[in-house]
Amino acid sequence: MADCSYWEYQTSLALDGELSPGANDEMFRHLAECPHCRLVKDAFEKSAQVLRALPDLADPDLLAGLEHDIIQKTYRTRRKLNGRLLWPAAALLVAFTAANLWLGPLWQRPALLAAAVAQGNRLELTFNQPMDGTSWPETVTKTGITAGPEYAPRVGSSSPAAPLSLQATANSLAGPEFGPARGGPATSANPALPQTAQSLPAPAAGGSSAIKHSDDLAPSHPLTGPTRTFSAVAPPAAAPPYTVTRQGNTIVVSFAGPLPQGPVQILIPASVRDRWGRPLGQAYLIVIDHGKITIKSP
Amino acid sequence: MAHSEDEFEAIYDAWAPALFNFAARLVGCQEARDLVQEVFLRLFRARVAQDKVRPWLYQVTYHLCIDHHRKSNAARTYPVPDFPDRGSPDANPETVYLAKEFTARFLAAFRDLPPEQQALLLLRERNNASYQEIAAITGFTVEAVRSRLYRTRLALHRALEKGEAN
Repeated sequence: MADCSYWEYQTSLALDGELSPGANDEMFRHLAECPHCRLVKDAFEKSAQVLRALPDLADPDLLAGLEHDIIQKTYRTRRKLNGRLLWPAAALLVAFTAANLWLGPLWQRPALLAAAVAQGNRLELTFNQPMDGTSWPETVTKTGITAGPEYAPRVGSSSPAAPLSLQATANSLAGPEFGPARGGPATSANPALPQTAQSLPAPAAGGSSAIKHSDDLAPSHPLTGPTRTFSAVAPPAAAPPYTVTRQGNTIVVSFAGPLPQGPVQILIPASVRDRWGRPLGQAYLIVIDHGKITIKSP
Repeated sequence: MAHSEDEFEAIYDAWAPALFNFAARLVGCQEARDLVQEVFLRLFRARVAQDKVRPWLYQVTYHLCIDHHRKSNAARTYPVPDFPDRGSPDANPETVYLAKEFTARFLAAFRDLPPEQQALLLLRERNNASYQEIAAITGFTVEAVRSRLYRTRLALHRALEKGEAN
């Protein structure tokens, strides 16, 4: 009996047709001598017979109904969904196309100064969008260049190009040099800005002579009002004479003399637009350092 | 490649009855309906090559049945129709009675087996699946299928012997 587990296992394999003819003969020789293994073999065979004889439980009507349900949930639903999605998708496509035609390519970035290159006494300013062809005369005649420490980026008071700072009573500072240099639209509306800039005196060392309204700089007094700090009040520096031309989406500024060094503000008129109608006109700040140009803003 | 509606219907007609029978013996008719539906919904979403559809269907059905057993204890109480009277009209009534009585005892012992063992026997005896096919469906090795089938048959035999003694 203890040895019979091997023959029981062989019997199971024989039932499945997995025994070689030699092993099969050997098993039958054992069965002829072992009533226990014959009993096991008969039981295995009977179980297999009963399992094979069990009736099918699948009811054709039930299966047909189930097939109908599955087809409804899969292919019919997908067909319906495809029909429902077609019109919204078409409407979206039409709206997207119309918006692109009307507003320009929606995937394009807004117009910006992309690169500034110095070549000799020429400054080449390239924009990332082609300009509107009708606004080029304004680009040439109204582009303003101003240079000087007042346009320096605010990177710290120790910088040699840091803006001036002074104390004055509130609302006491006035004068043309405080407006155009800061406000984009006001400056761009002034076509004579380069000339204005050239007519102003260059700031003296330390910047003190650039302060025009010295009588406004009364010391703070508790009766005259609160003390406030203003910055960048120095007047625009004189830039050397220049001419402006346009080549595609590049504005070329040719200076009569050497390129100004340090911070330079470039004012493009608000009416200059890219070919999609988006304005290029705004103030750009670059810093020229011996041929190396850094775009600081916007 | 997803199946076209015609291909899907052909696959359903070819395999749904066998899958239903297999699942119904493991989980009962009502659950088998839901499981077979789930199998074919998965087939709709899956991309199964034409020559691998049969093992894929059995594999999914097998695992759904085993999961069902693990999740609920209702497996032992599912209603399965009685074994019909298959005796010929002129068969000995006593023989017919003994056959029905043995089948009832056999089914009771069969339902007491673990679901994995029930599935192995069903696949082998009713679906004529080879050891390799059973291994692919269940995830066991061929050697494991061989020894598990032997142990299942032996367990069934011992359960029937025990029932006879009682």
